[in-house]
Amino acid sequence: MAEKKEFFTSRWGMILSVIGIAVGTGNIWRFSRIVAQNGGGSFLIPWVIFLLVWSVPLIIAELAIGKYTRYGPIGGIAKLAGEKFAWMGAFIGFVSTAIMFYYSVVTGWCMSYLANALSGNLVTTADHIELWNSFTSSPKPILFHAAAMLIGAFVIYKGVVSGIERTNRILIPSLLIILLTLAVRAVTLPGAWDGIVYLFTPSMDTLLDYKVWLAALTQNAWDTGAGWGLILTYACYARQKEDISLNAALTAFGNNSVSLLAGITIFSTVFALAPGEGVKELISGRGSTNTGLAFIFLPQLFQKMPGGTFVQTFFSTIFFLGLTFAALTSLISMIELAVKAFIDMGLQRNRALVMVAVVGFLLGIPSALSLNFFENQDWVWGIGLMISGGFISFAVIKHGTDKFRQEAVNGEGSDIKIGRWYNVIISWLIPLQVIALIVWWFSLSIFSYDTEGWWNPFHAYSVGTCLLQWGFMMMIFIAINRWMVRKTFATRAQEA
Amino acid sequence: MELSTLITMVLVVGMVWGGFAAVLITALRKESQKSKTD
Repeated sequence: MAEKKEFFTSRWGMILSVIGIAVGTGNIWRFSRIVAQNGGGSFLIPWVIFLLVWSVPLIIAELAIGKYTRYGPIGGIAKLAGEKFAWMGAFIGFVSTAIMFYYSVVTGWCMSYLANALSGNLVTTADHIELWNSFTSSPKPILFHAAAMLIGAFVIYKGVVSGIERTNRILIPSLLIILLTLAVRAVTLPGAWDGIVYLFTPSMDTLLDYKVWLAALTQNAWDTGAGWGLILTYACYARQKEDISLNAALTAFGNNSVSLLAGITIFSTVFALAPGEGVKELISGRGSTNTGLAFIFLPQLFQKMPGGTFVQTFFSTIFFLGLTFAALTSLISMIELAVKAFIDMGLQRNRALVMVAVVGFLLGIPSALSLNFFENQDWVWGIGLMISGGFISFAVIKHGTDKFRQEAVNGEGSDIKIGRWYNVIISWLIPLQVIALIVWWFSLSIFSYDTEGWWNPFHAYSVGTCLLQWGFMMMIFIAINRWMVRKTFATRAQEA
Repeated sequence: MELSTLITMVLVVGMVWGGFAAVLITALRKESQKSKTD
């Protein structure tokens, strides 16, 4: 039976859903840590530049491919670049799905800490490191991972309009209100201004350091959702009269606006409540660096907030509520990507959903049980995303960059026409950035993270583990390339 | 506060939040034009 075609009901429904993909936990916990490690204001300048030369062009490409082909990553790349390249689309889809396995665990952590904050436990506990360690070494993360996957699956079960669009229409504005509330409280704390000054103060030494530029590019690559295949998936449900370029700019600027707001909030809080030592904590991190900030250091700061237990409970609760909303809206899009790939190949939505949710839950369990496994997966598929960005750029080049720009980007519904500068960015700058990023991350493994065993595929942060896991998945997708193409295009032909 | 801090603040906030506001206003205007022609 042909799948009922659903489309986002309005531009704003679609924009909020796409911003829901982009805004995740990385905007809140990773951004501030990376800014602190890379010299505050010196980092922000390249961060804004890479917003324009990485995030916006790739989001334009994803929105255009989805709307132009109406297929998820596999069919979309096959239709654009040629059928023999469907495996690249499958790789893009798998990278985001592999992230979904452990991102559901992360969403579960946020939900658990929300419950902790709501009960008042978070502001009364004496040892936050012990609280975090006892939580992660218990079976609780599996239960919360299951709950996160169930909520995500329920939203997808409700469909594009009643599920994805309606949820994002509620959660994204709520998240903004929460962040604004936290920001107002943070910047009005005594001493908060020092944090804002630190955030925006540049230094010429760090501004000229290539590592700072690569960190800024990485933050854009991980943080905006550009090149993940998720935005491409949602764009399949765009109305025919929907614009591409303005919507891409709205998504990218909206995402980075949220990061900046979160950064101002966290720096103000850290400098006001932990003057002197706070920024060192931000730079060094505790436990697993990102999680250390969110689950150990910030809860300690909430305890120092003036106003008593009620105020502390209120602000810690809304912080973890915001974090949960940010995580959930991204998790939903990852589940939808995998479901859409199976729908394209002829499976009914509900069957595809059950399969994705059950497999996603089972394959997320190792990350819920072991932080080492979690960190390995984050390393392998985080860098894998850069290859995904390269594959999207390759598909556009193979199709003909100028043809793509004129037909898919500047086609029906476009509010503004994109000029030839886009051809240069997508054909040259994106591939160059992909190469720079992969070389840099691999060199970090070889010269810094794992100097002895960087080649060993069984080490968490090695080059070997990336090559083994990417290579294994690529070989499978290349082997079943023809089958994927036949299933995907035969389904659409039958529907027609 | 040093001058370089002020310039960076104005540049970054202007580009990110100002850019978002500018794109949002353009999108709102284009969308209302589209609804009129529909």
